[in-house]
Amino acid sequence: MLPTGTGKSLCFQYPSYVNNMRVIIVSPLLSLMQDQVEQIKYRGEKSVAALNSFLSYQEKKEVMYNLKNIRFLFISPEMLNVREVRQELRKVSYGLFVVDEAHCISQWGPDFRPDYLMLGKIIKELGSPVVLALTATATAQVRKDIMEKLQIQDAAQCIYSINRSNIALTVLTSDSPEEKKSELESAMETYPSPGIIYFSSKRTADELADYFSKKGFLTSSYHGDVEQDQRILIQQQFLQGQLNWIFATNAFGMGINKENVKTVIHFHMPSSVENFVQEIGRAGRDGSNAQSILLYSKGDEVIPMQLAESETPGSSQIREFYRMASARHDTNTIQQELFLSDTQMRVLLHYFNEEPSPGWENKIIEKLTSRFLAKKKKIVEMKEYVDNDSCRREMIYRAFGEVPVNQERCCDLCGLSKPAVQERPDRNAQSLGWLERLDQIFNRGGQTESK
Amino acid sequence: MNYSEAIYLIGLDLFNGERTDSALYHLITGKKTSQTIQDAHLFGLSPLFSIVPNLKRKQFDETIHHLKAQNFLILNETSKSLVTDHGKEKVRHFFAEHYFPADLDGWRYGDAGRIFWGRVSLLIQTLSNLTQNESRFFPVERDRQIQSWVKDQLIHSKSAKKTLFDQLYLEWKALFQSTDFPDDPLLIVQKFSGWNLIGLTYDQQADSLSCSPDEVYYRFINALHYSLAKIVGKKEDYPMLHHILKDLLKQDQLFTVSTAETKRLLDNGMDLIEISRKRRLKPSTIEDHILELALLDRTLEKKPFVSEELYTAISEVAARSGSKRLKVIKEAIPDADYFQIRFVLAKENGEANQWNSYYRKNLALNSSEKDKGRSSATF
Ligand SMILES: [Zn+2]
Repeated sequence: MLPTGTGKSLCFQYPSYVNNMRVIIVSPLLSLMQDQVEQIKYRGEKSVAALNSFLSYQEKKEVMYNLKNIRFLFISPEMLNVREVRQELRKVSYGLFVVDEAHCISQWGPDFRPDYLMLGKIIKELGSPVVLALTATATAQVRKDIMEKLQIQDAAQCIYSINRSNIALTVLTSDSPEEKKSELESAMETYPSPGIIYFSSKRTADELADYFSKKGFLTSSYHGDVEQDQRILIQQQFLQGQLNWIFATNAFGMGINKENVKTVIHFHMPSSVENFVQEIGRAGRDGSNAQSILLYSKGDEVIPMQLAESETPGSSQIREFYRMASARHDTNTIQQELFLSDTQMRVLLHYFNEEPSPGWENKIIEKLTSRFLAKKKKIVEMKEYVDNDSCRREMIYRAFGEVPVNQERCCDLCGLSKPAVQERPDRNAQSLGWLERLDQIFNRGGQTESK
Repeated sequence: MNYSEAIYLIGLDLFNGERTDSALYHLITGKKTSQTIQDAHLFGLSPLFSIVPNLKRKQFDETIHHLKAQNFLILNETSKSLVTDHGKEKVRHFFAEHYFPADLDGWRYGDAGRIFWGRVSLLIQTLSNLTQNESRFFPVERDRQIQSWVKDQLIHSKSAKKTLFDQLYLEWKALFQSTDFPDDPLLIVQKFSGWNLIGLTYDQQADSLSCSPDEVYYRFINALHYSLAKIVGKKEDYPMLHHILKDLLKQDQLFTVSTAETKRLLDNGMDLIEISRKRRLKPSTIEDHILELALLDRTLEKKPFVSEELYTAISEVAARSGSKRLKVIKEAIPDADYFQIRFVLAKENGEANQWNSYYRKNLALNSSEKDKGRSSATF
């Protein structure tokens, strides 16, 4: 376990060169996979590829029948479930099997992915290569779960402190959503950019990015509904410093390494301390001072609570599902008739395919209820971070079962000096005339001589 | 009303209650079937062909539903959409205040334009970085075929990178400075990415050009299609841009594969029935191919399919009644069969540019008013 931003990918890239072996990396974040590939290419390594459902049929074939020339293969769990793919994988040997975001395998973790449960079996099928499970966020319980599910008996565990000492922690509370918006504005004016602002809804991210952009901030929203070509531009603008603030959703990570992110602001409360820690970990990767600001207004915990509820099917839905699935009804019909969300359907189908024995309904009701309760507990824990009145960092240490260590620059409760007011950068790049802009793209004129 | 809605309404108005909403969806997403290709040409909608290839069906349906809810559309007796007078008035009003994309040519440049754009963007970004001695950058274009095309160009080019880069600059600059360039060059220039400046998203352009993102989208495509037509028409002035484009403009891409085969057999002197037997396809399928050819291939002879007299009779009735409805024509000329009527209509409509004439007839504005619709971006 390594905190976000401390070079997890080095852990599988380096051994590949030392031992000259192929590496297969399972990752659940499809949108990030291509970015990870681009990172490695950027470094100069060409034999890297991704295999996921984003590819066209032709592109998939191209990767599948060229496996032996691919040093780093990123693959999504659902592609691993395709028999033809596994057949091809068996033909080449892998020295290292990497499970990225390994906490997704644990049903106690916040991002449980049922298809990760197959990984243990698949690893055996591939001749049991050395397994490297990576995560930035795992409590002791989750770590135990990961080993169990991956069917690993003896593992060397490398656990680094969850603490990122260069990130100062602050919570700002406000009484109403309107007040929170102006709180955000003054935060953007006082805390240094570049920064990322996390939202729990795409719509709010869009609306506020638009609002602040019209007010003269260099902002853009960035989430799963933004088309890929536009997303690439936004990432690169952010890297180049053309954008100061990215308005992103919690569910959607940035696949780029921007080392100098100075501030991470949460506009909505995350659904667990684990998620929170992972997200603030985007700040200060270069080691310099950075900040986390959580904006809280009364009742904010309702949003993740409702989300957790909507992800959990009710007991009558579960019973009906079992009846219909046993009678071999079409999955689309079941989903529509029972008003099941995609997530609910995925979870139910998974358990059904695994063990459709009599008494299934009650076992699943029990299982899902305890999962829901676990999620609720996570949300309550996150709320404790807000309500805390001694030290915020100490609270995070406790959540991960670590022993707190005091530090100088810590949190608003321990006392932080006010940051200096930032100068707002101008937007001249966006107001250039066409010929000026053309000249700049083609490196003509004065501006480009400086390098 | 937003920009896409206005465009859809013109599309449905040109269909004139003779095609379904689905036909419009297939057309704007560029479905390559004989039926859609015929629709595009028969109703003068080829400019919109493949103009929004990634549009989700659900989103399209929601838009149409929204237009119906506002009474811009009603259903006729055959359950096809007709644009109401109210709807037409709104469209007229809309394009009095917004730029009309008169240079769209999705049929010719929709697919080719997208690849051309990918190549050009990546080539510019690459050369901009390389000429600054920066060999590491994140490509704005991730399509592997486009990436390897650009790589090949750079490996095989005899000229120095600086020379290529200068040439690209001069050609674009000349293009943007042509007196008839239809819109603000910023629509294109803002999307270029270079060594120290990354291109803008549609949302950001919308802010900068003071219009909506979907208007930026259509106007960008419009300006791009204008540029491509110019590059093709004056290739001696734009040798490098033409080089980037030329292999994307294959003549035989214009027909579906099956139609091309029918054309080959026709050229060998076989008739409709013989072709149908030889290819084991229904005669009606071969008829569809012939109609596609009638629309797209000016050299196709009419004689094997319809006599000179009948041809004249049908085209006169069609012109007089102003209808493309087959039944109306059939009633006037009982001797003609439906295939012959469709053949004549196809042949007659193949070349007409209803898109632009629709603009002139229904949205007619004098040029000063037209300029008002353009952006007032600062220079
Ligand atoms: Zn503290």
